[in-house]
Amino acid sequence: MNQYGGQGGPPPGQPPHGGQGQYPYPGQPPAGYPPQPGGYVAPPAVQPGHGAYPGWFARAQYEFNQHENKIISDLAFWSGGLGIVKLVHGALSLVVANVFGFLLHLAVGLLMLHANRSLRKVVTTEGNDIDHLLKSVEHLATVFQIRLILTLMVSILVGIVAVAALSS
Amino acid sequence: MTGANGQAVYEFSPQEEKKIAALANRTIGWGVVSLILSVLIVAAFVVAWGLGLGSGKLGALWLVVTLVATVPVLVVNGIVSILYIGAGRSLRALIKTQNDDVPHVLDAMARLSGAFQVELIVSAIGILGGAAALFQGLTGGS
Repeated sequence: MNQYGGQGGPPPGQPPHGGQGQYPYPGQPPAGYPPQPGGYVAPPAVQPGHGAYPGWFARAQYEFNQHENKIISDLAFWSGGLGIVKLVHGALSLVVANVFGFLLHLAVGLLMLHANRSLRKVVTTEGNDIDHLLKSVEHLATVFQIRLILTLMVSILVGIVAVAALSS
Repeated sequence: MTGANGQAVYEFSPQEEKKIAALANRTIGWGVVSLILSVLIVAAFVVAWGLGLGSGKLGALWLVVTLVATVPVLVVNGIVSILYIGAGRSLRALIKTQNDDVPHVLDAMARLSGAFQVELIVSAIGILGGAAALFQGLTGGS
């Protein structure tokens, strides 16, 4: 885990500051904090990997350096290029009335372009690199999921047709 | 937090690792599937040749067609598969190890870049070839 991120724990030397039920006596402030009129209400628990709490509650973000940005920028370039090529391929599929191919290439092309946009944000913006990176990871994972499912479907179909043709 | 060499390190949270694991599994899956498909395409040509399509006068021509059609498919799919499987393995290593997440993710990205690059070039060539054939078909080859 990173220094604060992921687990949401406090830095060394800081009092614990977690969710309800973390303290032995509900309604009591943690050790080191003065009693509050009307009872103490613990702050909400920090969800690992989520939320943007101020100060040390904030999830640590990693900022990619110039060399790392170059690698990410390359992936952004090629995923964007491949996305455009897939859209062109989809348009050509429609010309020859291949609706299945059109939908496949359209979906893959659009997801690739979304991944490209998230990756470019990693390079061009500051403070949210990991979030943008994970967005692109999600888009790319969906691309491969679509490809795998459709390839398996088509393979099964082709297998059935081949067996039927050979047996007749 | 900094690593042994003074560089900043980042460790992904379990939720983040779940998303990365999904990409890792699917890239490896796609690499394996695309390798199997290319082998099946070659096998289909060999079977067709064995069934007699390559006999007689057309034998030599069929052999040339088989080589021209299958060798590039095998080479390209082989390269792309190795890159995808490598990217997936780097992402899996990221999940298994600690304090070294960023180099693994960058290694995976570099491999994905290579795979996308090859795919783009091959797709562009295929599209140009397809468009030329389509144009020729529409104009009646005149």
